[in-house]
Order: sequence, then C-alpha cells, then structure tokens
Amino acid sequence: MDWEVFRISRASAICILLLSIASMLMSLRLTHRVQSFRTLLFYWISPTASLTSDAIEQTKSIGNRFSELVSAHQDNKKLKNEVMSLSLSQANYQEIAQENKRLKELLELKSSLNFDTTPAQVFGRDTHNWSAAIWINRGMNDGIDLDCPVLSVAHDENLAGKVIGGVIGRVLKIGSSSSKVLLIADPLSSIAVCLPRTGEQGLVQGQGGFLVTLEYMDPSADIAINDEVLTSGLGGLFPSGLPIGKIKEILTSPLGFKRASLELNVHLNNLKEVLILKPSSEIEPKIENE
Amino acid sequence: MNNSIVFWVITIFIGFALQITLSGTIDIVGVFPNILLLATIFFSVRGGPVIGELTGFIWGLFCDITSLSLFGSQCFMFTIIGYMVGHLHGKIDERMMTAQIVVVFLMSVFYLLGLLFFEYLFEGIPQRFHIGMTFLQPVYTTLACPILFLFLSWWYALFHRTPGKIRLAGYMQ
Repeated sequence: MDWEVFRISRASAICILLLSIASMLMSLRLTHRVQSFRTLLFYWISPTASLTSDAIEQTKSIGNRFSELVSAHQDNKKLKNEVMSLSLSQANYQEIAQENKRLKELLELKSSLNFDTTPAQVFGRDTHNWSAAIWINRGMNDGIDLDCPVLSVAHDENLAGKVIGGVIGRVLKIGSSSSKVLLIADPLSSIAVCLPRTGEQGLVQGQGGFLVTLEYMDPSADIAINDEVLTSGLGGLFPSGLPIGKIKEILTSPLGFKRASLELNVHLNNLKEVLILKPSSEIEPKIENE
Repeated sequence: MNNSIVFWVITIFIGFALQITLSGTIDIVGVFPNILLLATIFFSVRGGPVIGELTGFIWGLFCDITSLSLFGSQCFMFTIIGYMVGHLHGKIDERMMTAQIVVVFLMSVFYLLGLLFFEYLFEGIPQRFHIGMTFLQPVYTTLACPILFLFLSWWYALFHRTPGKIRLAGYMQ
C-alpha cells in the first residue's frame, strides 16, 4: 500500500491542529475551562490595549496642546495689545477724572465766593522762570481785565482732604483769548494781607522759586505759626478776605521788621484750572439773599 | 534572543494594538478595516502557509478574546485564511496592487461568510450580521490594503536586512 497518498505537509498538519483547537474552543466555549482560559488571556492582553489606547490619546493630546499653545500665544498677543490700549484709556480716564474733580472743587470755591468768577485752564508756563507766571485760556473776549485776582484750589491733607482755595496771583498781560498771570511767588508780586486772628497787617511778597514771605510786620506784632493769612483789601487789586496761606516760620528782617515765611494754600507747581475774579464785582461783593 | 522571535513578538503585539486603536479612529459609519486580516494575508504571502496560519491563529485568538463574536470563530477563520493564502507564497507578487486588492477582497468576503456560517451553526441566529454596515468592511479593508502593505513591507525589511543590504545602505549614506 502506498502510504505517500496519506502523507500531509507540515503546514497542513499545523493547520489541522490549529483548526481543531479553534473548533474545540467554539464547541466548548461555554465550559468553565474555556471561559477561564478566555479570562486568563484577556487578563494578559488587556494592558496592551489600554497602554496603546493611552499612547494614542497622548499623541492626540500633543496636537491639541500644540494648537492650544499657538492659540494661547495669539491670545496673549491680542491681550497685550488690549492691555496697552486699556492702560492708555485708563490713564486718559484718570486724567479726566482728576480734571473733573478739580473743576468740581473750583465750582465749590466759586459758589463760596461772593464774586463773579470765570474758570480758566492753565495751558502754559513761563519758559524762563517756571514759578513766575502761567498762561490761561481766558482773555479780553471773556471779560477779563488787567490785575484781575486769580485763585485756585487744593486739598488740605491736614483737614482730611478738605478743599481749600487760595490766591495764586493776578492777571499781568491780557490777550483776546488768553492771559498771562503773575504768580504770587514772583518777586514782582506783592499783596496787602492781614492776619484775622490778631488783625495784624503786612505785605506778602514773592521771593522766587515758590517761596513767599510776609513782610513789614511790626516787631511787636502777635503772630504765630499756622496763623491764617488773608487779603486785606488795601491797594484795591484784591478784595479782602481771600485766603492765601498760613504762617510757616517766623523770622526778623534786616531792617528790624518781623517777617514770616508762608505755606501757600495752593501749590503753584501743579496748577491746572484756576478761577478769575471779574473786574465788575471785584470791588463790590455780591450781597447774598438780596 | 533570536532576531526573528523579537520581530514576531513585536509584530503580533503592534498589529493587535493597531487594530484596537485605529478601529476607533479611522472608522466610517462604524465600519473599519480589518488590519489583522490584512497583516495575516501579507505575512502569509511573504512567509508561506506555516507563518500565515500561526500568525492568523494568534491574532484570531486575540480578536476572539477582545470581541463579542463566537469564541474561536475568528481564530478558525484567520488560521484557514493564513493557510490558504500561504499557498500563494512565491506565486504572486504581493507588491502588485491588483494582486493585493483581489486577494484581500476575496479573503475579506470569505472571512465574513465564515463568521456568518459559524454564528448560524452555533448560535442559530447570526446576531452580529443584523447590521448591514458590517458587509461594507471587506470594501474598506480592500481600500486600506495598499497603504498597509506598504507599511508592512517597510516593517518587514527593517528586521530582515541582509548584511549586504546593510553595507550598501551604509555606502549610500
């Protein structure tokens, strides 16, 4: 008998073996042993699946992270521009708010005065001497005349920020729509004043460089530190009762008079808005409740 | 460790991992290419029936473990496909796209019909095949075969360089 007929190749033998195993698995799939075998294999294979899945997710997330990074960079750029424009707006807003506050304070001062007044804005300073003069945007067309008294407002930090007014100078030169104001600190400026506490009178004179002194006081005059100094009305230029400042230091002049350095109510260095007393009412104060 | 064993262990696990992960990534209306079937066909044509049936058996077993199909059915079908296609070893050029497409499409349909048969035989009702979209899988698998065959060729060459080829590659660089 020729047994070669029944001889099968190695590949076929393996195939038959493997197919038999597969058939057995199918037939006995519900038995406990096959179920356990399946569970065991699943136990060993499942980490591969989860690891690969995690790796794929990580790879996907790299792309997402990169796109997020790019968009964050763009957002950052945009936000930086916005911040820059907002900071400019904020600075502008703060400037407007400050201006508004100053104008309100000026309005308060205006209502507290018994004179006709005109508000004005400071638009320039004396280029030669900073503390000598300022330029304001009111002139002849606004009814301003030479030697009109000019006031401004400031906060008194000692009085919990209370707004106080003070004389800062007088109109020196006049144009059609602008004027030059001689500041009180200029050596050419002098104002007749009095101390309301004692009634003592004197002359406030500028010494240059924001320094102002009270001159020609009687050597026996009763003056003290922090005494209030007001205009006396003598000389006709400034009406009486306008505040100027306070005594800061008491001295003696070379001629034997008592003198004092003053602390002005208004800082002359940062003037923005001022109030001009109009000539029509500078001599005759308005009578309230007329 | 023998280079060949390393290659087959890595290949078996990477193939299985690709099937699991890519199936959820490149699916079209729930249908995805059967990468393991493609790989089984490729290695069967390249290595002959023994390689084909062994890789087919292992991948089929993995598929049976992770899927809800009749346990052992995929193992059976992958093994028999590996064996059948393995006999084409040296008879067809697996780099030819036409040959790839014909073999893959026929084997995909055969695989699907085999599963249908076993389900009907053991379960009575072929539950998996109630979804008509399942029958689109052979088409999708066939469409994917040129790319996967290209990748597998590269992968196979990576581990099966002869010393002469390596030397030549060194000179060319």
